[in-house]
Amino acid sequence: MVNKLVKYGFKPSGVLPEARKIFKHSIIHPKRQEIPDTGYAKDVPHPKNSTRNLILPKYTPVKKLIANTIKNPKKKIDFNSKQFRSFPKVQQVKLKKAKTRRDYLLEAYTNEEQKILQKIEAEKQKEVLLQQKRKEQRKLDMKNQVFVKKNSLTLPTISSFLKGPLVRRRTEDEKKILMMKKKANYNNSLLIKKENQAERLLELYYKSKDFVITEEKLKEKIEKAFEIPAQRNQRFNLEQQLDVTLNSGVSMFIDQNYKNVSNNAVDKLLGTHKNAFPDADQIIDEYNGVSKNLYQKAQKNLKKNPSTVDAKLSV
Amino acid sequence: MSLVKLGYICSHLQNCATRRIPLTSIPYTRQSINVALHLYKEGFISAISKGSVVRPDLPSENIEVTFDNIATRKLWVTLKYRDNQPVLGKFRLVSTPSQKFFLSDVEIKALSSGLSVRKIKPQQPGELILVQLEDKKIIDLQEAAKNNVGGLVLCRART
Repeated sequence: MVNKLVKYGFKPSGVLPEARKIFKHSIIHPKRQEIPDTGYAKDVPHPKNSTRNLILPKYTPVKKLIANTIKNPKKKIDFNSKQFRSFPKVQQVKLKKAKTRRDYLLEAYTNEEQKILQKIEAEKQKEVLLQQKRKEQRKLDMKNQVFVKKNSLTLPTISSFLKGPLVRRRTEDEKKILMMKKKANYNNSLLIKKENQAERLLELYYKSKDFVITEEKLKEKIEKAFEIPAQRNQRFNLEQQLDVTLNSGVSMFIDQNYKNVSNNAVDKLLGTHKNAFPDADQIIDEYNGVSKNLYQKAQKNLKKNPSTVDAKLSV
Repeated sequence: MSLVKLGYICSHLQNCATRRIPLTSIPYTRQSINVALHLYKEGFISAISKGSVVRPDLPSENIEVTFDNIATRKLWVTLKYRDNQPVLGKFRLVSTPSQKFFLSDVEIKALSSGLSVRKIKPQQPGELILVQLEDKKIIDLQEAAKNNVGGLVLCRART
């Protein structure tokens, strides 16, 4: 026996009985409220073996339990009396055993009741303390002005979309920025429009050079218009052009396009118009005095270090 | 939103369900959100989420709806299927723009209790009928009957 206990570390072997609760049912009245809109309606009959009312879980107060289970014998027996001694020994033992059993059970019941009540009391106290702590924390937060939004910690629900306005209104700053953007866009479009107008006006001005204003020019133009071109010369020109295209392997159209592109590039680089006249931008710069400033700056730089210019020219 | 647009939503969702499409988008308006929410509560659809024209928003991104992006905002609806059959079988308008059914509280109670009112057939088990109140609030027919209110009968959905 001892060896076996040693083998298992002084632990009893075998299957132990399940630990049962001392009280089968709760000893405190369960406080429950009926949930609204549940159960049977007034006119609807309820099925057999059921009730319309809320069924509460069973509860037996300890006093009732003691009164039912640990009943004292009808006749009070004094274990020191002569009457008790007169009983047969088996009955004496039986009575004593019954007494001890009753005493132990009573003790167990009372102890368990106290334990449960203490536990409930402790829980209540814990909750009160928690509430006090929360109150203090809230006061502290109010003092320090620390507010944590509950909604910011969770995802927004669909029903929360409907609570406020669907679209967030613009703030005052956003409104100001938007107005500024609109104004800038309008001004930009105006500027582009005016630039185009200026360019067209300039083109018209340059073209006006060829306009017929005087009588002499009119005569010249009429003569030019009615002049019969020499056929020989024309044929020669055509043959010459064909020779060039066949030899080079490049078509006339590409050549023409290339010419146009090169002319445009040169115009852009030099800031000149198609007819080698100043561009609209150049005129605007001149009018604003930008080109004059540039010229003055360039002159100053030249005076300061003329060697760099000479070096560049030699390269 | 007009009944016409609600009609578009109804037919769009019904068509998507017949073609077994898992995700669709509907306009981001108050009425469509309300309708989608009721469908979700009754179990006709499995999810609702905000999103753009291209796709629903990810859970990590919380995009605010502003006047700058309202044109691209949509409400994404996940449709539900059981045994390859759509849960949202029929979704139709009851009131049409040419024939609107404004029911009183008594008529709504009658409709909810299984009687046909005018041309509207009675509510079947598992069927959702939506009612619009005077203050544009959309509620379920049962809720309307419970609160003794009348209104415009909008649409009905069933499997």
